[in-house]
Amino acid sequence: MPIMLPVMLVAFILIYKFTYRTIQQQQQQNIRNEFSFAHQTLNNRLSVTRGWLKNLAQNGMIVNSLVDPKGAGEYIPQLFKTLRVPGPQSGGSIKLLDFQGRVLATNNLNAALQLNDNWQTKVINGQYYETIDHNGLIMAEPIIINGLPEGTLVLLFDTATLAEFLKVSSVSSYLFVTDAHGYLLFTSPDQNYFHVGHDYNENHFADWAISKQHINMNSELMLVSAQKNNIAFQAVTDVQYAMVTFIIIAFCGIFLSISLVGRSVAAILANVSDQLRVLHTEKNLSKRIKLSTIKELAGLERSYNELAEELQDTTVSKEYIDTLFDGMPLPVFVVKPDGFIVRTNESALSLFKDTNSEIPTYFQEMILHDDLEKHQEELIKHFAYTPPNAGDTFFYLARKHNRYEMEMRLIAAKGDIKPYILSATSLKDHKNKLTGYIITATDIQDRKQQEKEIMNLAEQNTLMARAIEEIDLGVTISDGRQPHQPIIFCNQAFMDISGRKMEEILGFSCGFMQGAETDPAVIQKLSEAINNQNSIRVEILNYKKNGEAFWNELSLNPILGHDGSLKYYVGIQNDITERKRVEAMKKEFISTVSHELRTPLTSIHGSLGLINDLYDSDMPAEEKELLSIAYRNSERLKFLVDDILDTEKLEAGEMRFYPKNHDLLDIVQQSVQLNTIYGEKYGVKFVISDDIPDTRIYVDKDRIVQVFANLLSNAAKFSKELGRVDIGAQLGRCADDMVRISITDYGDGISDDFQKRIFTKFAQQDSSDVRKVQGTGLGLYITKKIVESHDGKIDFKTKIGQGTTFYIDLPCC
Amino acid sequence: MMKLLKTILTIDDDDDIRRIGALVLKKKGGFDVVSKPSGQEALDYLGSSTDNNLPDLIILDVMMPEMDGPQTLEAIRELESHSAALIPIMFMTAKCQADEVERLIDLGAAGVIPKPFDAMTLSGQVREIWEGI
Repeated sequence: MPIMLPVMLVAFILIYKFTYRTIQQQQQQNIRNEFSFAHQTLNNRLSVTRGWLKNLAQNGMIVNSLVDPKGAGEYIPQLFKTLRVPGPQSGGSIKLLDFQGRVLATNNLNAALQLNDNWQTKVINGQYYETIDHNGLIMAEPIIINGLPEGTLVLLFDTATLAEFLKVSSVSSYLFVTDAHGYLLFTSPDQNYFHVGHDYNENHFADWAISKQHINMNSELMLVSAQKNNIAFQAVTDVQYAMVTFIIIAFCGIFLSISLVGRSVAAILANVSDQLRVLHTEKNLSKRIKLSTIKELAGLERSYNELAEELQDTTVSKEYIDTLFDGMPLPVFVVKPDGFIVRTNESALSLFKDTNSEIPTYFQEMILHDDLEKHQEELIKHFAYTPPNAGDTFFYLARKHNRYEMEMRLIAAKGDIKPYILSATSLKDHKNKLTGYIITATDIQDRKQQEKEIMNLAEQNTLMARAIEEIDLGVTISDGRQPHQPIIFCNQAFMDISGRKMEEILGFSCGFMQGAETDPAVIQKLSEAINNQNSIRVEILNYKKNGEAFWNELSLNPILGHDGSLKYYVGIQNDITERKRVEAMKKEFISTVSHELRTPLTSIHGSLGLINDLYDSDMPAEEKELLSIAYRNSERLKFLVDDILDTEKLEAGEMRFYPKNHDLLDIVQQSVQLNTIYGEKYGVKFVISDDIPDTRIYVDKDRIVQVFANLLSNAAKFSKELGRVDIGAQLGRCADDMVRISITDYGDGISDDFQKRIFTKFAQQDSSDVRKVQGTGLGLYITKKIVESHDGKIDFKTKIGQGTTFYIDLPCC
Repeated sequence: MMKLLKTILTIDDDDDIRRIGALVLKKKGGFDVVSKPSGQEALDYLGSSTDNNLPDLIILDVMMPEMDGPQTLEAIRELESHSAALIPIMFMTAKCQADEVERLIDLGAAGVIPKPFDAMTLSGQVREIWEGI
């Protein structure tokens, strides 16, 4: 026993020395680790940010926005609003500048940018610029287009946000970041020595363990780590005292213990063994052993309790995972390597709800066979592998790729077949042996539907584009937002019509087709319509590239944006030179016929009329009869030519009207007077009503007299022998400012069949009475056209056997 | 005008029209008719007539070669003989739209008769205009 004392003393000294050194080493190691971690983190953060900025400077949208600042007007500010600088901070701002230094877009309007010559000179030379100091951080990346810097992306942190950006954490040491002048940019939050904004002073840390290293390529930043030495040595001193106490207690204890051990150990072991049995049989994990007597057995106690804790934790986390698994909205299957389904979650089960069918035993039974075969072909092609059966295809690929996704259709509830994305992840044990797969199934039916719709839309667009390319009307689209509205699209027909190539059209204004003889009034009309953003259709004399003139029927239609502003003009052009020529020929024909046909006809008709009138008493009856036939027919021919000419004029829009204010009664009386002789021929009397309103109508008198004359002669023709025709008028029958003139006969009425076509060309009522079928069939057609040209209306009421009334509504003055 | 309409001078380049016109006015209207195929011949005729032989009315075709209706009218109005220069003149025209009629009236015509005329009613039309002068 006395020998033990010096032995223990020596042991104590050795232990003390060893501990001291170990702790010192440990401390240094800790500081080194933390320091290098912090150093690496900051370095990474800076280079990630630089890389991010560089990528952004090459982003197509941003580059385009410098080329086409107008077009970028909408999307670039939107893009910048959503930009977030990578890293832990939220205060970094990013700005897009053009080559003159004007800010085009930013994600933070408030961040002020100090322009200084340094970075501008650098960026103008196409070089990257970076500076970090007490003013903050500036990174400036030039945006290069065709080798020239056209703009700059600038990333900014002010002093406050920079501290956030430089934030690194530590446990056993304090960390500081300073700029090149020793100005503190970041300090660990849990110390009271220094704060951001002060100068870093090394004298404070005289007896501390310090590590220092530059960060950043320009060595502008310095990372400092510091730990008090005495923290570690305090620990060593504590150990010293503990050891002395321990030795004294040990001497006393050893003797006492030895005697007790014999008895206690047996009891304790029995206790532990009992508890283990309880744990095994009852699975009661909450039970703990309590051993307080023997120190050496404390380890045993701890081991047991730790085992129990661990088992309990495992059980709890298993419950968590089960809950999570079942609660997942995504169907999940856990299968063995051969596809045997081991577990499914609620969502997977719900695929089979409302059906009698059970979940299949093997996963591959659910996959549509066709899809498997399709993938099998791919397998053979790509991997030169032929799986023994189709079901293996999917698992083969999953094994090959560790995690594999493919689109397949599953047969689920009620035999529904729906497309899914199946994702299989291999499960491996600690020996890397495959134990199964976890398969999730994402329903992509909606997505498929959308894809299909997009395809249909695309197809439609193609069709429309094709149609535009095929039609023989020239189609152009002009950009209405640019000053001269340049053409941005034209089809083949337009190139043919204008005689120009695509490159001679795009970018030019539509006016290039106008020339020397183009009517300035039409050009004026066009530019007015464009200024007012109206649609317009004109006939304009245009010129092909070779100078050949052609008539262009041009219609322009504005396309407005959602905000009502002009976006595009769509122009439709039609070469109507040929049509114009035919129209001119027709016009000439009409005037020729008008003169050349009517003049001789007048002579014939006049001569026959004179003979008939003057010499009839001297003539034998037969000759008289022949003469009267000739006269009647020449008269009919005269009417026919007149009516045909009127019809032609009306249809060609050549009939001119000269409206003036006229007294209604005057016109009615004059019309009746002109037809009195005709009426007498049929023994019919025209009776003008007493109450014709005293009103004036704004009409071409000759034409309206022609209308009344036509209706009166019709009425006379279809009246009964010795009948009468009533002429009346009333104000405001169809509208307040209209007068309705009615002409009523008491004849046979108009048959249903004829009513339908009464106003069409060459319509004549079938009649057994030859005397009455003498008109040209054009009278009512011309009448209707003339009335409509006066903004009037014509209609009739008829009753078989009782007669017919024709109404004309004309606007009053 | 109280004067009785007795003698009419018609001027038209179309022979048939001129003859029928003259015949109709003679036979149906009972007028004395002299007809000339051109403005110049009419002027010569008027120039060579004494005041007692002058027609009461001239009916003048508008569209004629060489000297047309309005030109002839001007020439007649400038004749030396005042009686000849003041003879009322009616136009005959195929273009009888309102504005054309107005233009002819403004030239100093007494009236306008549409062409082609109706042989049966021509005399009545002429008499009607004459009475309105």
